[in-house]
Amino acid sequence: MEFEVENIEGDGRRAAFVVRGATPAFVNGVRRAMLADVPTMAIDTVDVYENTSVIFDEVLSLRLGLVPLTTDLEGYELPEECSCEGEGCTGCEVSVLLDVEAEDEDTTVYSGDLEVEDPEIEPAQDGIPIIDLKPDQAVVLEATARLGRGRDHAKNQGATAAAYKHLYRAVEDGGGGEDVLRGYVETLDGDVVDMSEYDGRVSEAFDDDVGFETVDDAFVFEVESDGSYEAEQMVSEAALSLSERAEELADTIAT
Amino acid sequence: MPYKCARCKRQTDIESARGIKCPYCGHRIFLKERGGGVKRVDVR
Repeated sequence: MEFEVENIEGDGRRAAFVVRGATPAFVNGVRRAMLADVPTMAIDTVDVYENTSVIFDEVLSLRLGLVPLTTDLEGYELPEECSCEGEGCTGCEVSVLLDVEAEDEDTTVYSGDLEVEDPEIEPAQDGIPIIDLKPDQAVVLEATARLGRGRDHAKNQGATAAAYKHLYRAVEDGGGGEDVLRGYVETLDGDVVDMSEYDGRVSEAFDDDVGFETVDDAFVFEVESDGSYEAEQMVSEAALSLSERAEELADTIAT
Repeated sequence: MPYKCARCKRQTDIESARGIKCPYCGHRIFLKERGGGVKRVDVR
């Protein structure tokens, strides 16, 4: 299967692109791979030394698990694929420290207070509130972050949004009919425009007699990452994951 | 299991023979003290 990919928007965490020449099954496979197969780093175990806040250790730990961390697939292996066989080593896990004490006034602990042993790994955003501390309350803990997949736990789902739909195409003498159109539309010149630039109003973007139809083998993909990866890298990793699984299937059938 | 009186903050043990009552101030509300060890939590 050969297809073309055309970037239409992208600013780090968000990307929108058009895939031409693909089937719905294939683009849905990519979407599902982004949600379930691309590994991301997340806190997996927490050793709580001190917690005098009003939040239970378990609740605090679950909140920490949901903090997105930047992911370095070059530097870390999935625990089950690591040479230590999941025992835990520098090749598959990284230590994260949190040591905050509210002295004289109320203090909010943010994701930016987490100190990660490896400078390549850090919270994707510094401003995620984790817990409020009253004066003299403190939290001291050491956590371990590991790679994991979204199909095993939602904390490892790097794509916060991954969706696609058929591309609309403008056609001459289509008789009009549409007043409002959302998303991306291919113009008569072959360019792809974002209808939000026109507040979705067709009359502002096209002539009165222009109509619209869907393009059967073209899909507009919109992807948003939680910060574990850049959106473009997320798509590449998803495609790689699909490719590896297809090869694995072919090998299994051949043997 | 050590407990702390919610009023006078002194540490005491709860003895059933004596009832739930602080031996120092007579208050009847106690707070459970956190154990000294490290607690491991699996984030799953």
